[in-house]
Amino acid sequence: MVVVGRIKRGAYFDSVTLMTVGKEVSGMGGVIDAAVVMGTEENKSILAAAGLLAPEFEEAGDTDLLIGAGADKACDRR
Amino acid sequence: MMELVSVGDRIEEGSYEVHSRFHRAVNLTDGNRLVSLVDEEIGAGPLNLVVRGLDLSRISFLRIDRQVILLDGRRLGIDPDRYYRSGIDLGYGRAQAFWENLVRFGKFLVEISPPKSLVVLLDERRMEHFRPGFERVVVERIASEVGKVFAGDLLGGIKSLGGCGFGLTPSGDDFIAGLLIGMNLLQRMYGMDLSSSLEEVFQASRSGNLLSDTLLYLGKEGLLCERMKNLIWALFEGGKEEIRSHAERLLLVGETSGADLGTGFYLTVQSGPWFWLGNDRADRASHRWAQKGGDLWS
Repeated sequence: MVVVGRIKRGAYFDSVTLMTVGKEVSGMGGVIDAAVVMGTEENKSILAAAGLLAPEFEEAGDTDLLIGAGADKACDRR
Repeated sequence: MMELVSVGDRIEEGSYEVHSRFHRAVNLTDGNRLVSLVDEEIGAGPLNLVVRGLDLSRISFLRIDRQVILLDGRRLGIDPDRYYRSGIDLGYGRAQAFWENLVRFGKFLVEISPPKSLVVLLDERRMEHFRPGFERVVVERIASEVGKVFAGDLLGGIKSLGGCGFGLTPSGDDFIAGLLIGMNLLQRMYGMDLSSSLEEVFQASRSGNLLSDTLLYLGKEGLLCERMKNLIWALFEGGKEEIRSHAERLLLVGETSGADLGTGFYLTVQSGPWFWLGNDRADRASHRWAQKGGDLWS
């Protein structure tokens, strides 16, 4: 599985939006698993357990939004 | 025309700038504290300024003085009658209905909560709503930590539960806020002193997230938003319809925040004074409650 991560710093989205984005990312072609969560240590630990901890997430903090996706092909990195 | 409907009793004087902006609320901060400008649908809260006729998308600055609020230069006088009192009020007459109503509340949580909430802790069948992979790992982790809490490893569970899960205020933080409110309620009901445990739980769960930390602080202090206060009133005074109505209002908070907080509250209060005090001390506390006319144990 190829894992892709994006960090949104200092941007706050309500929970409804976060859930919607998570659902949309999960539904994208080739995506096996996805997560949209705040970058707390606990969430990073869960991302690692689920195989979705992108390297850039290591530096994220509690107020950063993490968007992670695991895809089955390298071409899905876009 | 703009009108100040309600002023939270924990709002402090100062100058505040925008922290985060949503459809029905704007959070403002002075760097340390939070004030929320909200519309009437959100309702009153300890740190809420409820304003009618206000375009929340335009607000950028707030100044609060003793008797006046300045919103982007517009002045609003503070009418003392508009202060919202957020403390837990136990001046209710039907305490004997409380436990029966708490069971009703638990059933409503299972019946009407959004699918991907921590109500899965009350009904394992809800696990089917969570996708295999990350979502299920989250739920399994939270269930494990909540299990630790109610098996007696309070702080061990809380430390791993804080910051855990979905949402702007992670599900674990919402759960802990409900737990803190539940502890406060038990404390008031039974004349217990849980202040040390409340402080320890707060310190173990706080993070750098101002929104979460504020939610947890209010829970620790037993300061309630109107929706939670109404639910507690209904648990003492209401019947089935009132419980359902106020549970529904609570569940409208965020995508799952109300349900997550409600689950933490329910499990904590359900655990009763024995969990927090041990059998002997809890029996004495319940006796005192009965002597006060609570009649919970008849």
